[in-house]
Amino acid sequence: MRVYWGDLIRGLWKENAIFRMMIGMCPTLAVTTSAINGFTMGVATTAVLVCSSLLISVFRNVIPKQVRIPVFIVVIATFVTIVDMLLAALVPAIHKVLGIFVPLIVVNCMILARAEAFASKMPVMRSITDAVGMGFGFAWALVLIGSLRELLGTGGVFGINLLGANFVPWMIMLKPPGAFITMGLIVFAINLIGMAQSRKTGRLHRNLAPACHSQGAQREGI
Amino acid sequence: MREIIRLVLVLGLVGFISGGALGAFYKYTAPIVEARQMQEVAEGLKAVVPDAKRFEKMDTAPPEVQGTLFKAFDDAGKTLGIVFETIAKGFVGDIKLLIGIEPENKKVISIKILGHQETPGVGTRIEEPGFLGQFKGKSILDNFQIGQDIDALSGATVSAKAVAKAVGLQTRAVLKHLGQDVGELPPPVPVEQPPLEEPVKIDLPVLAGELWTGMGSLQLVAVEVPAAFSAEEKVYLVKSEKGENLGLLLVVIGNGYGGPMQLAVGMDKDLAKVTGIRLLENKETPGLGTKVGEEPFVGQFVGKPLKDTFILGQDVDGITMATVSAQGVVDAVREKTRVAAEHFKAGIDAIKVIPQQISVPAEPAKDPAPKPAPIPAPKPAPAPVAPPKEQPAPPKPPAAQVRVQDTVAQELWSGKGKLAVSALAGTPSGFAPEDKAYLVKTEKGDTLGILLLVYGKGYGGPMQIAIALDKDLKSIVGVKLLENKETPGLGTKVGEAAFTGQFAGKQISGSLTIGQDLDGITMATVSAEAFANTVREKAKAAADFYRGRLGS
Repeated sequence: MRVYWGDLIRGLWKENAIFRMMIGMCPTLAVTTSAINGFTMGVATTAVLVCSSLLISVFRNVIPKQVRIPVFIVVIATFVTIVDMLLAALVPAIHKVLGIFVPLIVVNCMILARAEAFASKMPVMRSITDAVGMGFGFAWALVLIGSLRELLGTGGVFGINLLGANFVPWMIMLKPPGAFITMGLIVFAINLIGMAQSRKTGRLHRNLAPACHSQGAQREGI
Repeated sequence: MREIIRLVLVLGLVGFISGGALGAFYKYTAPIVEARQMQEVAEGLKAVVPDAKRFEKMDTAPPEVQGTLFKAFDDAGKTLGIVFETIAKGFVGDIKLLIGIEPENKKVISIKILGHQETPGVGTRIEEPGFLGQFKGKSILDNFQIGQDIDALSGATVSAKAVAKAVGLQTRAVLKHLGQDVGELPPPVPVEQPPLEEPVKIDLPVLAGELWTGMGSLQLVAVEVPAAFSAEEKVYLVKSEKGENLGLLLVVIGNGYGGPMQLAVGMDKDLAKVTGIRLLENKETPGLGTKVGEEPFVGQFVGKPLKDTFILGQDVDGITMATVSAQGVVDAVREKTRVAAEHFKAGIDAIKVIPQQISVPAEPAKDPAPKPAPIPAPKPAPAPVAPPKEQPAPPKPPAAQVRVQDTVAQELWSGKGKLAVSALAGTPSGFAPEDKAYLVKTEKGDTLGILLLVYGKGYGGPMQIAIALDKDLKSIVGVKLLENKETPGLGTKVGEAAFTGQFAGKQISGSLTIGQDLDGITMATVSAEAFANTVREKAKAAADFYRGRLGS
């Protein structure tokens, strides 16, 4: 059971795709203009990730090594297209907003990375747990960025006004620079937490964002 | 080899399964998506045929309509009409229109604007129900002509025209496509344009003075007119006091929004440049079209080479809400100057003069009244006819009219009875050649003081100021604004008693500065400062110069 817990928590926090590994940046920065967009994108990506991890893990022993990457991509692309069609049919408004970024889930390197690094080597249940953790880790990161941008850019979150009528929206938060600013500040905050933790425990915190990784690596003399 | 076949088979199988899965999902989602899209379209289409319950795509559409035709049905399945989307070329970009028609009755049901990029607040007025409502129930066989069967939107003529034209043409095209006889498009009804009132009162001397500034007294000589010019259009040769040719003044007619508009266009002596233009008689909408007569617009023509393209929106900035008027001015200036330059290409000195001359008095002595231009000046046309051989005649001295200095002196020294005003000899340092000083005495011969008629640099151009100084040359008796080019209603406030009255009794040696001992005028700071500076400097110069010389 502990194994599963570890698989789950890894994606949610310790190896969070966005704030720790900094992969899948393209949809992260592009679609997080509102909390609901971030949520939908996160759920769509999670769905693709879980389904493809499941399938790849099940057939991990039959897929020939030489063609594993093409097979992974075909599997992922199939699920992405299915998700795209479902979104278009069921939530057309959100589908319109997410636009090209739904088909682009195919090239979200997080999904292929999990397929290659985890699902193709691990049993089905662990693969699914890992995919759920990774997917939800991705989703909460997108919802957090989307919420902050929506809050400062429109005065509300999930369409509910929180800052009152007198709040003057910060237009920049809804523009691409707003995504970078928000992302940077969140990573800064998370790294502060990480560094505080490592100071407390007296050992190097292993899961800082890449920039801190390399600093840590230098300090450790690696 | 077996290995390769295995890999190909695996990949093929994966692709096959993937394709099958996608096909299944597509089969499930496609009808949902299509139904939703159709519903969206129908919601939109209902805007122009509100009673419709169901729409059906038609297979073909006329090439003029770049969209699909939809048949609208009511509950009972009866055809209500045809709805289609189309595009009108607006002022800025495409205007997307939704049009509903009743083909049997050849009527428009209603129209709706789906999208556009027209100028906010101006072109956007095409969305007003008052404008769009005019199309409701309108016969497709009508003209769809703005100003005739469709009321225009003042300020948004181009956008309104675009919509009306598109609706007229497209509905006709659809009717024709449906096999209905639509006949020929009725010819546009000529817009009734009332002629300009005759005689046109142009103040040619003032006009020429505005377009050729700083040239002193000018003469205008009527010359032959190019054949392409109409009877009301005139050409004048503008000469300096010494008889030098300065250029041509064209008085031409352009097509404005409200009717013909008369324009004065100055051309330099090489006939290569426009020296300036003025809007004269016109029927443009006050406050909108009349903006083409204002400085920001006409100023663009000053010094403009004729070889420029003169295209509105390119080398000439347009005027928001006055596009048609501005277009009329630009077209007229372009065409008429080209015709004139071509006609007189032998050079300005070779121009044949019609034996008729208009003498222009020098600027200062023109107007005894203090009000701003235009000044009721001599009539241009039947000016003193001089014998042909004397052409060009030497400039005539200002006509024997009421002398401005008499009138002004009488006003500034009121209640002193009849005054004797005589010119003072000598020029104080700081006086320009056109600045004048006069000694003012009562009828009995008591010296009252001196009167200065001086020029200062105002906001709009030179302004003439009368300054009355007491006989000790210590204080100011009064001041008065004479000729000026200040902005009417703003800069001209410096001529009002509330401002000029402040100067009465002020010491000449005082600071006479706005904000210190003089109150300024809101929105007329530059004019007021220019006025005060001129009074201060000229009064001091005159007082220093004439002190001790008076009385003799």
